[in-house]
Amino acid sequence: MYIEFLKKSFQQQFVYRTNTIINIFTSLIYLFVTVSIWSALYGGRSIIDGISLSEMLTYLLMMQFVRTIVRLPVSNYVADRASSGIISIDFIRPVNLKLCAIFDSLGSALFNVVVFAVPMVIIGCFVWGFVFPANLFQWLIFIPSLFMAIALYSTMEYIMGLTAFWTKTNFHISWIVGAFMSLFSGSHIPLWFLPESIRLVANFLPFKYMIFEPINIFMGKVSSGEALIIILFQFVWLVILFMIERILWHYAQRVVTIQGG
Amino acid sequence: MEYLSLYLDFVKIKLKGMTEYPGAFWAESIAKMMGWAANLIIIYLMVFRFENVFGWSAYEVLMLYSINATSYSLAGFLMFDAFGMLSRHIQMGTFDEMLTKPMNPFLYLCFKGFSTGYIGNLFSTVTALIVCFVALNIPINFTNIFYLIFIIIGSSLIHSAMFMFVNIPVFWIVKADALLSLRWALDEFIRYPISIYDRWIQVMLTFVLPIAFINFYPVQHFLKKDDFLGFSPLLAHLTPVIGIVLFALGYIFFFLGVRNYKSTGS
Repeated sequence: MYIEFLKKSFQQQFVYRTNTIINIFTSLIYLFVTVSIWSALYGGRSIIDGISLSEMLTYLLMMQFVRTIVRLPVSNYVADRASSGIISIDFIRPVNLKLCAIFDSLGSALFNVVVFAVPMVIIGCFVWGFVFPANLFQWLIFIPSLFMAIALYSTMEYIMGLTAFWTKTNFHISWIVGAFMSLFSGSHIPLWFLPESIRLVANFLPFKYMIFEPINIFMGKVSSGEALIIILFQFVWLVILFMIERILWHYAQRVVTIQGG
Repeated sequence: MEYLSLYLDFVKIKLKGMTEYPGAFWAESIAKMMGWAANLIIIYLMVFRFENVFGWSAYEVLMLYSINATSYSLAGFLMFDAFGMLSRHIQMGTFDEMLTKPMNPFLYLCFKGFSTGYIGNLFSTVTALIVCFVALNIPINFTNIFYLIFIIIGSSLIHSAMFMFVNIPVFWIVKADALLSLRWALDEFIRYPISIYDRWIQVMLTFVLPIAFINFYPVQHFLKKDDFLGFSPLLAHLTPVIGIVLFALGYIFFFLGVRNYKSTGS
């Protein structure tokens, strides 16, 4: 049944055709600038910290792909409903609000993957070269770690959305979490290149498991044992976030104030 | 002078509105401050690990970014709400009301658009600027401060003009969301020294869409650099001129739009 939500929001994307074209265009500019700066940073050196330039460009392409599918704007869906009061309907509906939110966002994310991320990886392969995983095991373990990343990120977003029951908006929390994400998730700088101290902090936060670690596994930069430990940690974080979510949801139902219902 | 006191009255009203919801104001400022701080740290760390990019050190790139961010925030204070809300004013019909006020509608829009949402931005970016000055041993004396203000006014005018150029088309096409995201994409180009790009992009960012004047050219005056891509080093001092010209073009564009404006009748 939730697949219907996914289909609906996927189809909805076709309505905004100019929007899609502009989005593709801006993402291409973004990718172009990022590739330019990393090539300039390497400045002719072939390997830095054990990472070659072509591996770095592979990382950038993979990051675009992973980011498109992982970063589901679930909190907007929840916060809009909480602040507008539509949430009152969700309380009596026989569906799970969280799953609705996730599948709704997943629909538009899949649209972006199909029209944008996949073509870009293909173009990238030809223009910059793409270092594909050397063995099957990397593929096999990358896929579950990607799914775990989606679950982790969307649970975190859902928690952010729930705070709108108190604050009426998810804007502030989104900026703050966004700041942590951009520093610790590897969405701007892969953790390989961060100073020791920041990497240490990142180890105690969930963010790197949402973007960096799945790509790290894909690129074969960790041993198979380490890859399994990463998935274990993703699972532990998922349990922790899930518990926070349950507690917040429990209290959210009490504070809900429907304005002008 | 008369306008100045009127403007201050508008600002006063906004500030009073802000103190009405102090919690929201602080939450917004702190959230934005953290967002910008993260951006600044990332730029620094990225260049720091690789020592330099085309001869620009980490602090030099950081300074490039902070000048852009500071002037963007200043322009945001004055222009973001003024022109960002233009399409809504037109759709809702409130723009008609502005035309009936006994003053220049352009000024009225700017006065009304003053926004307190940029205090957090300014705090982070000005702090970063001071850190760069100290770290790069640039003397903080009268001439340098004066020159910095001179540049920042110029680049704020360029940013303001950008706000205007992407929003004023709503007089013809009602919705300009697409143009707005293009503006963000353009901003990406001047995050780093434009020496990293191909020649044709450098030429475009200098002469066609002259946003390199926001930070790349003027900052070199302080850094005592000579990275003018084969163009004249005089470009370092042109920022205020470009700012005034672009702003004036935006102003003319606005009145072309007003002339073309047909009320939605709502």
